[in-house]
Amino acid sequence: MVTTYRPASVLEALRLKQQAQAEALFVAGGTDIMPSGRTAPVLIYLQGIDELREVSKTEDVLRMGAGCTYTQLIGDKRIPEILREVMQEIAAPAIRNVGTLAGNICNASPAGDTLPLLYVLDAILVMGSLDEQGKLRTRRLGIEAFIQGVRRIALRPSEMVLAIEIPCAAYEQMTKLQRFKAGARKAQAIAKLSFAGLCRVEGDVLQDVRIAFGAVGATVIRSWTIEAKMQGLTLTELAARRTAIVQEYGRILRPIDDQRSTAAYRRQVCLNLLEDFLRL
Amino acid sequence: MEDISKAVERKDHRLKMSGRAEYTCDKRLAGMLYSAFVRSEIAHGRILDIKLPDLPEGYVAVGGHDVYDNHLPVVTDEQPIFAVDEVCFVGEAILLLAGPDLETVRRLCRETKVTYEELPAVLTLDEATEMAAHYHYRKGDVEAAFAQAAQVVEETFTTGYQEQAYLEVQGMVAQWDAENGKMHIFGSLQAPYYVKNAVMRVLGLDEGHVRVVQQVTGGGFGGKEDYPSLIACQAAAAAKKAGAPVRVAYDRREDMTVTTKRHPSRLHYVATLDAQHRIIALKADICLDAGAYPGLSSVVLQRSLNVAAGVYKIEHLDVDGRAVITHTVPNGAFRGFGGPQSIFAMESLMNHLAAKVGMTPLAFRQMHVVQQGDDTVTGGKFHQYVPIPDLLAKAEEMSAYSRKYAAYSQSQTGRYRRGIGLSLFLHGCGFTGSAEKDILHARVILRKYADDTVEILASNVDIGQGLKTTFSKIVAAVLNLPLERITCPNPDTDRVPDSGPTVASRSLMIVGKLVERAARKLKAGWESGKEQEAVADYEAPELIPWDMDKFSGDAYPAYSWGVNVVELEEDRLTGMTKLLGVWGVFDVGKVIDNTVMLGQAEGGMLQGIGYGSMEKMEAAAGKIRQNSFTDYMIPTAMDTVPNQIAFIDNYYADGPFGAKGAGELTLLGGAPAYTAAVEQATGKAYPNIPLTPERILAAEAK
Amino acid sequence: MLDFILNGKKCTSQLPPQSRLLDVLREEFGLHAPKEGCGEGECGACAVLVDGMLWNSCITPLANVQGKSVLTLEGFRDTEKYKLLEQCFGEAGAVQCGFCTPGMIMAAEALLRKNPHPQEAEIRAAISGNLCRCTGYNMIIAAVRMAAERGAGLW
Repeated sequence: MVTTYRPASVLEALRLKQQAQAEALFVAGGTDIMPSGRTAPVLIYLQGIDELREVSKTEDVLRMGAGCTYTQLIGDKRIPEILREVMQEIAAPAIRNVGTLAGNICNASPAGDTLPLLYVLDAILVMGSLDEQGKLRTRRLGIEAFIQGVRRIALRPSEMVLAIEIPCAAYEQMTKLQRFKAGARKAQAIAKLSFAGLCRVEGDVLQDVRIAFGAVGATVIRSWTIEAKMQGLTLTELAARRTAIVQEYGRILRPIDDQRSTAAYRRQVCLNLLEDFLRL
Repeated sequence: MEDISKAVERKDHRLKMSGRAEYTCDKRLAGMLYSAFVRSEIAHGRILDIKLPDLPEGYVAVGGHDVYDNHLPVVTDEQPIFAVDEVCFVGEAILLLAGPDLETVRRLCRETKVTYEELPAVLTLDEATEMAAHYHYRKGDVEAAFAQAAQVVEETFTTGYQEQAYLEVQGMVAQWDAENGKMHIFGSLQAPYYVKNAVMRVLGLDEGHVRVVQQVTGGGFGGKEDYPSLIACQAAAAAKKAGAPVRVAYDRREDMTVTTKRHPSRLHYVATLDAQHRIIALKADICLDAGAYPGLSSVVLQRSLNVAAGVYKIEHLDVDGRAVITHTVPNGAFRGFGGPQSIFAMESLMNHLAAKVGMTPLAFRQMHVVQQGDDTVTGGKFHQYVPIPDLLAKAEEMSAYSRKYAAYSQSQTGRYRRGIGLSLFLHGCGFTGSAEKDILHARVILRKYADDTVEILASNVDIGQGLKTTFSKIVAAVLNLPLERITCPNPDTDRVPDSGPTVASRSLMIVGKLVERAARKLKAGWESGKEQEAVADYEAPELIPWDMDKFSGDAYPAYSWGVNVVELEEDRLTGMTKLLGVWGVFDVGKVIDNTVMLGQAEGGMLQGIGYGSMEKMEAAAGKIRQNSFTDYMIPTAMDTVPNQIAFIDNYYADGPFGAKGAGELTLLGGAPAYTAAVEQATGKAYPNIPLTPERILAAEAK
Repeated sequence: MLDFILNGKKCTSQLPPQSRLLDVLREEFGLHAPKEGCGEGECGACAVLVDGMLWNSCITPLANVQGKSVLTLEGFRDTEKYKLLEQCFGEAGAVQCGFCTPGMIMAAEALLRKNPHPQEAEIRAAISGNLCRCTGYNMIIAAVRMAAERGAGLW
């Protein structure tokens, strides 16, 4: 027997979740859950919660409600253009009209289209739960900590994702933003691999660099260690070390063979895109 | 009279457009039961035991012991309707369960426990030894030619599965009329009489006690030639046992796992060139993976062999072909029917040979193309005009192929590289050999009613290719009647004669000619206000007799011809490609409807390009890995570009108003033109399709 | 019990909220125009409009249309816009086997409502989730362009 709810507010949703705990599954657009056949004793449908569809932007933070669909965000000029491009390449209109950015994150597929970019944007998950007085309590976690493995996330049984936040200052100062999705066709394709790279060059010096790869490991692969080594290099130094850096990344990629692609291809294309990105 | 080619609105346009067309999934009968299969989970094994759960009231299970004759007739009859002792591929049907609630039926299937003793499985074509078919033919003196060779070039090509991916999955409804002992079958199918004959045999019913009605059919592409006979028999067995109508409706994953596909193949070619760069001899060794049962594989193989040398005149030939048995899903009919494999190999070989001798692909081809009066590979003749020069001229005019080829031959730096590829191809129209004359004996009836409307009675179906429209146009043109006065209902075997299956690009050319002849008879005896009937039976044109044992003679009464050009851009970093232009020029005799024919060309070319590029399907441990629309890639609207397509008039006397076969031809050139374009862009040779970005980059690494 | 508006009329479904909208439409309300092509949101044969947006009904839980307005081809085919699309699809030869057509029409309608004068690339994108195996798409794109050109004021 399945019990279903359609709460109209975050507090109501959290009360339901607190009662049901792990027995309950949140459903937003349903684009991942429905075809997978996944179900639970309690299903909580989130589309009725208007407050989850709010977008706000301050000088420091862009905040996108967990209920925002791709279509909504693609049409919102406050969203970084590169993120809108990524979302524009997800599936097709009927999926983008209901699928949510938060859903893409919570689904925690290694191939999630938005994930590499969200990693390099240092996206933060805002989670809510109820405190002892039944009031909303929030907790924030960086996306790299939030996603723990294939379909594993750091969401506690009584929590829900309320929003995704992106620190604005960093990306607005980036001088080079690149991303790429290798799909088997130009729409309706699950990524074979994906790449995102951001960097800020000031004068002749690489001040900030962030690189992430999707679908070549259980989670998105981003190495703060290698990034730190690159930071502060002059472009000439970077050019001299480019091959070595690419090789270093090559050692941390963990691609597999599956029905969509081969490990060799995934690795090679990731490194090709990286090499291309590092030509500054 | 108005030119018959002028497009009209399709006869079934408004019905389909409005969503009112009744497909099999829309068929509802009182008391109809839903069904699901218990299927083999292993590639090869002996069934030791089947434990069914207790079936609730109103639920039935049927298996091989419930049918009169557990053999599916498709050319031969090795395939069982239900596996009884042995399973030979993953997904082979063991039992069909039916009942009023689909979820319950599915649960009962999951709870059914089958115990197997696993047996060694042959999973690839390379390991296979058992043959479903083997043919061999020779022309000239190959050994002597090889002895004089200036150059010998050898190459092995492979092609993968291709899934028909009709948008409507397979489905069938069977209704048993116990009172009259008659089975009624309603389904998505291409060959009503194949289904009827199969159900008669398997259920032990006679001619008058089986009726097959075609529902509106959501695409076939060959996939609904042989396969529907199997599910019709299974549904019929269940309906008879249950005493209630039973519907078999696949879901997409089931459909893609267990239904027939295009045969994967391996083609080994050895070409001998003389000092003037002319191919003097060719040896081809063609091997198709039949899957677990022979089915149509022998006939598919015949066509592979008949087009093994493509559109080229080669003096000395030695062609050997085998279809081998593996413990994988049986393969069957798919638009092109053995042709696409050979055409890909031969066209690619021509490109590679041209490169070897330093000629352009076009010039090298032009040295070799056949002409009217030349012998075919099997000692038949190209009796009619071969319009390749006209097709090439038109293709050149539309695509600027030669100019672009020269431009892209210059060294290309930067991330994106461009290439343009060309393919030439032919399709033998109608059945191979003498099947029309010896086996089919097609008949068409035109029935005129008192209100002077005319009904076309034939067993050929409209599966989207526009046959209702083209048949009706032929009758309307002969009788000089408005199109609205002609009707062409979905076939019901209680009403229509057997005019054969809707396959082999024969419906319009062969059956359409019968429609035309019947119409002329009706016209000759026309009496307004009176009910009249006209019948036309197949009459074979005069040909060089086909000898199957010797594999010689005229394999086909006529050939259709085509040229494709594909231009694209390859991304050096990813091996991914973007189409820049696609061109097609075809000779299908006289076009009966410009828009219908354009639809055949547009759709066929994209299926051909898909076959050559993204449509990857492979089996792992005998199970299809890409068995869903999520994992098996057919092109989307964003993967295509506006095509330019043209047709050359080349009247064919034995076709209606001069028409020849058209449906399959259009698929043949896409894959080789695509791979040729990638080859020019990258400077590498690719002998394997689908040519995925994975393969493109792998070649780059070498 | 769940209320929504179906083809302009208030209606109540007796099926559980986790049911697929496609099954609700086809089995409970007998609307057969939406078709199941894949059951996993890849092909668009089941596409309908929900509050004017294109949705795949095969992966839509009924719960998600509560209080919303669902439009299937059955609720659209008596409109002037449909009649124009019907004519243009006919002229362009955009319908072959017809199985993708109901979803394709809804995709075209969703596009034209938002963008009455779409460029070719916009049409391609708008129908990119609607697979068609017969036509190669170009004739469908031509039909939508034709409708946009002739449909002044309709959208």
